[in-house]
Amino acid sequence: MMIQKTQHDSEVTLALGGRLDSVTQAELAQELETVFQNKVSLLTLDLAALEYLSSAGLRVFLSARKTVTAMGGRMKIVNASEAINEILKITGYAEITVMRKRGRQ
Amino acid sequence: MITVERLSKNFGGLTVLKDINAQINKGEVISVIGPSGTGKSTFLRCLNLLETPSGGRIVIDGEDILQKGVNVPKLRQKMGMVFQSFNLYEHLNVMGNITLGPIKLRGWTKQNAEEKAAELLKMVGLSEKADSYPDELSGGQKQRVAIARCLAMEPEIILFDEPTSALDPTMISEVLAVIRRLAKGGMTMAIVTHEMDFARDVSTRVFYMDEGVIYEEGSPKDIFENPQKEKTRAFIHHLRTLKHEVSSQHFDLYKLNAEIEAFCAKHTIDKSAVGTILLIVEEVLVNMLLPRKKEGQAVAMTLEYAEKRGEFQIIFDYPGESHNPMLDENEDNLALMIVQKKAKNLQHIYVNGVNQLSMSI
Repeated sequence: MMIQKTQHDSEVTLALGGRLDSVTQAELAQELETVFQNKVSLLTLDLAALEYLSSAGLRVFLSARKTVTAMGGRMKIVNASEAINEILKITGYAEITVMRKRGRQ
Repeated sequence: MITVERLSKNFGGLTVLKDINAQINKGEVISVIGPSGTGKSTFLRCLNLLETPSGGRIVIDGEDILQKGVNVPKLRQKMGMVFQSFNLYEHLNVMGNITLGPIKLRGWTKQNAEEKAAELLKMVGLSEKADSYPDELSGGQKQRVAIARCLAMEPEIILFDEPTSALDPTMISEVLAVIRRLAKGGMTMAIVTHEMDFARDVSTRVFYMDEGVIYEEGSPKDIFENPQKEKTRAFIHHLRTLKHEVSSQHFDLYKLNAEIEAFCAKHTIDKSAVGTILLIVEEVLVNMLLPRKKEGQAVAMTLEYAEKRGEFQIIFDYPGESHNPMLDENEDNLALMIVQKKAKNLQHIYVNGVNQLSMSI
């Protein structure tokens, strides 16, 4: 999978691309571990280029949110495609996160 | 129209066609299917003498074409051929490719040939490409030009030798659409193909070739839904089924995904359904079955496509104690939620020490 990080002070955005599954979830978990070495006030996961998401990826999202909340920050997920959004919704994840829809399939 | 009797063909010591007997009538669309290397293309190439048969008879409109003194060029004019690799003349533009035969072999004037070619290009949807050269065209466009070129000779029958095998999946349908239109227009055709859905909808008869003979023939319904002979059955069953065994938690997920994607591509399944299948297979294997699997045991996954209902069936067989993962109570139930939402008809049975979990999509 592709992970692209941009950072402004304590606000971090990770743009994820490709497949986030039981094989690649470790790459994201590792990246997040690096990110969380400093205090994060806002973690944004940009899923515009993400093509596939399974529960393995969701678990990483959940654990990231837990960490960032414990730091007093918050996390949001943006630009999920409809298919990815459906997975987030099934697992109740969409309700507890801020979504910003973009006009794309 | 064409009668083939006891046709055989050897290449050195290798017998490719043993004993082919067939009849092709005017207006028929014959699909020739079967495993690779069973002589399907050789059979087609023998019909218009691109290969010289080793024995037997081929009678076309009452004339045995294997007799000495047969006018081969004239015979070939009756039978057009469309190849897997297009075989266009690279140095001629599209118009030149189509008009060459009619002008040289049939003595048409350039103007007549070009008028006819323009009509044919319209028919295959390529009017705009008359002045283009083959290397400026996509594979699908090249094949449509090849079909137009073939039609320009006004053949009585067209032989298609795997016309879509060299094409990207996205281009297959544009070529098949043209062939479908010809079939509707009553053109007599014989088509060697691996596109089973196409063979099923478009043909009047299907030849299943195996072991150097036409092993079984019948209507598409006979061959695809109710094949009588063992090898035909195995071939048809295999088309609709993908099996994959997983014995380790560290199995190659991407290899399995690639197999599933290739299997779905054969049945022209849309992308979102493929995504759903991949997701369910990953969730069930990785999160539900493999973590509980004991050393030395394996989980067998079977993917079946029920063409009539357009439905996929996913079946997991796994040994051990009776265990229905859909009833697992676990704090982390993300995988379970996904599977329950995405799959239908979830069923678990336990027979003779083997669990079977099945679901449809």
